[in-house]
Amino acid sequence: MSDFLTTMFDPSISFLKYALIAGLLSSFAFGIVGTYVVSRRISYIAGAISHSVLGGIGIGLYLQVHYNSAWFNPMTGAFASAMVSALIIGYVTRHGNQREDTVIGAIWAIGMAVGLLFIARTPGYIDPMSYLFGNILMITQTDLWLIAGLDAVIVIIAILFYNTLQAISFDEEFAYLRGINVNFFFLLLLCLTAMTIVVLVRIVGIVMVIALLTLPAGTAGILTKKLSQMMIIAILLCMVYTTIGLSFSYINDFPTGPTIILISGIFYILAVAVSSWRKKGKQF
Amino acid sequence: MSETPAISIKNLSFSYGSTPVLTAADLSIRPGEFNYIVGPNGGGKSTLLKLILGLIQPDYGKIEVFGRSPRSVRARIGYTPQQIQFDPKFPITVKEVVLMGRLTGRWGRGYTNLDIQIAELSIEEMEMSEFKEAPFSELSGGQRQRVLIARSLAVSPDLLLLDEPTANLDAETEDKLLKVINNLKGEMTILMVSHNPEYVYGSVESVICVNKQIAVHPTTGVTEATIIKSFGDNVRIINHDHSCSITDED
Repeated sequence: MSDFLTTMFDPSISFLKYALIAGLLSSFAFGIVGTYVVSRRISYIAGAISHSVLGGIGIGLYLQVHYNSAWFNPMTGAFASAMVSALIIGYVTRHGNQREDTVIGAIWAIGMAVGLLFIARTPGYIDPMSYLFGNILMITQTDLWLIAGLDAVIVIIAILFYNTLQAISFDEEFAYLRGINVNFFFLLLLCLTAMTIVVLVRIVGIVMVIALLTLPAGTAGILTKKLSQMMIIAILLCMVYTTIGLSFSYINDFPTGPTIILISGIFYILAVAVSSWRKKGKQF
Repeated sequence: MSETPAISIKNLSFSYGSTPVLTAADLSIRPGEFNYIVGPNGGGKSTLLKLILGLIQPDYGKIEVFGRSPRSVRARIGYTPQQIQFDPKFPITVKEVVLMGRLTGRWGRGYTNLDIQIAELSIEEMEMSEFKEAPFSELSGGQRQRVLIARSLAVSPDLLLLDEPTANLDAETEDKLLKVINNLKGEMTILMVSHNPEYVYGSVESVICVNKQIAVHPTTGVTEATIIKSFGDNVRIINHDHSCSITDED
């Protein structure tokens, strides 16, 4: 533990500090967007968006290496593919005559397939594992600004449209009758989810981003029955998970992303167990 | 000059795909009336409400609410759907549910003190004040229905549409809820879908029987024979010891 603290406060070593700041900052995005994902029950949509991001990353890498593309890099590719996937799923959910789960599954798988094909055709060694499972220790100062910017956008939208987003998540039909543009706000929610996923893929990777979107919010949902409180608790839990996960993984030389997810999972299972036990106690 | 009807339906037809739900239906309801809608399952009761709300569009015919298209007057309509449509685990309090009635389409508008005051009055009117901070998910079926009606009242509606508010409730809770709804009579036009037309005959102006077509009967004219005619053959009359008769679908 002392090693961890010494490295953390060593002014000449920045990667651990950046990792901790990234974890704490991203907790805002995970807590707020995750609460909507859990309470609106769109975690499968979030899963499809996060996996489709690999397609954009693959195309970005390919163009960067083959055509020396400065503007279309893995990050812009990830952003574009996440937004396109969110809009396609949003459109199909609203207007399409296709089965929603089939489209979600298709986007999930096609995105990954495109990404892996482009990565395979990109010269030089590129390890898809770093995109699939992320690496919080590779966070740069630019990433921190990006996460802070995303947090600002999400917090502003969450405060400004709290009542509206709550209403469309609880009862879309009634929200429509009150004059709310429910299609627009549903797409806004999906776009927020997509933005969160893109930035946070750097921290825990494509495969596990869904866990940090759902586990802290899911645990918070057991502890409170109010949306705003659920967001605050989810943010705090996420901060605790990333801090414990980071220090534990550093001390024991474990990969950080999976350690954070495992800690989130353990807390969630404990919360479910305690809640079930208390309910059972009330029944008998 | 004649009074503009609260609801005016002329020659209306609607079908889901190739299945006709309403055919050449006509209806006119005066402002301030309290009417019941009855009819068999699949007869078009809920569809009629959705048409009046502008949630779906008719294939043929015309609907006007207060002389205008349903969509343009939706802010004046309070609507209580069947509670079965809600996610029972959604994290929201009673007060937050009722405040939804004060939402408008204006971007980024928060709730004002007046909105909160109106919501609290609506909660009080539904006798739910002691539960206003309680999670919606922890209420009983009857309490949830009261909250949803309070949400419709928070709209300060000129027209209140209630879709089977007493469905799945026990007789005692149903009775209590109907008494509360009856107290709203005269404050607004009320249209209530019910599976049980027995309860408020004394206070409603007329009973609207919906079964592909619409037939309006003054309450004094509704007899067992009328109900059987509207529901079809699949209806039996049960005579209880306490000498009330209840229609029931087979």
